[in-house]
Amino acid sequence: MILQLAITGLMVGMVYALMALGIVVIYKCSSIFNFSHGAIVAFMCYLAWAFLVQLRLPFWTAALFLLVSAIVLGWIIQVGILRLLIGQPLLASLMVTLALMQVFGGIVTLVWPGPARFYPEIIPTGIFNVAGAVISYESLITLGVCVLAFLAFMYFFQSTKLGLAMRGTAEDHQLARSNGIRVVQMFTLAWIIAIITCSLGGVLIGNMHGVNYEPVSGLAMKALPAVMIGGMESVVGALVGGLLIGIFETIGAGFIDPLVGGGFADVFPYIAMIALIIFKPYGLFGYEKIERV
Amino acid sequence: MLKLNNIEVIYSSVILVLRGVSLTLNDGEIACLLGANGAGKSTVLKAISGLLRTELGEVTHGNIEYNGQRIDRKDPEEIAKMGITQVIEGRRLYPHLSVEENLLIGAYLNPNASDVKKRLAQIYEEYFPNLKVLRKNVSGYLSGGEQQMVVIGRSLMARPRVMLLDEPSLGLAPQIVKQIFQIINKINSDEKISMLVVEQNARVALSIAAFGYVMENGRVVLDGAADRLRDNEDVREFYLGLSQVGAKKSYREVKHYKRRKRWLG
Repeated sequence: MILQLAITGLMVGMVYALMALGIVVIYKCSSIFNFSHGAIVAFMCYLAWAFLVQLRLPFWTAALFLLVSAIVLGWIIQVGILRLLIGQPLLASLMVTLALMQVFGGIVTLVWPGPARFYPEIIPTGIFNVAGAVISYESLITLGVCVLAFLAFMYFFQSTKLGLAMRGTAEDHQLARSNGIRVVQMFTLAWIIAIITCSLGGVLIGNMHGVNYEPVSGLAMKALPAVMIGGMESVVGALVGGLLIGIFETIGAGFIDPLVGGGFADVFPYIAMIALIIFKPYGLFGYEKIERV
Repeated sequence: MLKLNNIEVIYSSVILVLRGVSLTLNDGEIACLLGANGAGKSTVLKAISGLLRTELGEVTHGNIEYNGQRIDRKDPEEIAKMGITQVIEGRRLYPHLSVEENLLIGAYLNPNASDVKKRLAQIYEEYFPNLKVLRKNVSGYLSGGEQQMVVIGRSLMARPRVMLLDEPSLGLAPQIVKQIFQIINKINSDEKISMLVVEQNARVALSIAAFGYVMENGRVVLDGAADRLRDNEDVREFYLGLSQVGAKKSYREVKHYKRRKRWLG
């Protein structure tokens, strides 16, 4: 039972961590909290379905198409909308992301109305038993994809020049410009990276729960407590926060739901978030303001 | 050669900060810019490096030329690419990044990775041996002097031809100020980088500079070779704290009459 819950928790947690990464990347660079994250995840989830089922593309072609759409979409949002708001109050950009949430929700219901859809079998199904726990290939592959994606992004931020430039941009825009870094390009890059994580998450969540706007965007927004717990500026925080939320949730589902009659799994992460924020307002790994005393 | 021709700078379209500043920085030379708070010294540097534009400032009259090319309409990124770097006032670093990351980011515009590595080793070796020991530390927690070294080192990583230093002595102990200025002098003589140094500490600035400008209320009121400025009566009185005779000024007198600044006449 515990092993089973731990494995599920880990898998769900890694998906949340990937979602949280998407939010953190944008927040770090441009101090904008992307409220439209969940809606974009759902949109990309539908887009993948359209490529696979409506256009009948083979898997890898569809994947390539999805990647290109993610890049184009990130570029449009940054260059077409948010760049024009640079120098304006941050609230304006924040409102734009709120509006984008509605826009993407609207597009999805407009283009793909009706009940949930399902991906063709893109991941082999089947289960096997390990020490009494039932593990599906699906969840194993989901876990693997998330871990690989996370490692790739970590490598990008820690060990490449562009990653360093992005972290520099996150700290001080004026300074970054004086070092020759084009800050607006870094914003665009941040949005593109975020939307790539959205696409990955959208496909993985859609594969588990069906291609359906409400559950997919709702699940993706579980990244919010993950980000708050991990800290707004930290990639490691996104990982830890996501895993913690996944584990809290499965513990809630496994142990507390039977006692209270269900539904507790959904609120447990938020209760944990409130409890943690009271003691660590910056989150576990968020930037505390460095002040030398 | 860097030349400012009679520039006027206005912030937010209304605040007139520089009213016709002209100065020249010859290749390989150190010049210093002295003046009281609010005289417009930092604004001069920002006008050159283009950072003015990130603060809603604008060069409204006159022009800035670097090697014959006009740069006062360029973005800070382009100006950085031309080899002009500014060491911003107040030891501005990327506080959450390590010392080495801070230095590496200074070489962002250099596409040649092995050259960057070479430069990093050179900076550790020749100028800032302490930084090599501290290279993994979070830069925000370093001492003031060490931070100043990181900031100067980051600027050097870009292999600049012109360095604009904004108050490198700010908030540092006299001993450290001396050390920092020795390093600045060494950089200048080793690499022939031209430097424009803004300072409140006139004594130390005039000791390394070849040429000096004194600013007041957005204008250059006095300029000349550094040793001539050191002997100038007004500079001695108002910036070096010496009375005419050369002895330290006495604060014991009940009243002292301030000299009228000649340049106001």
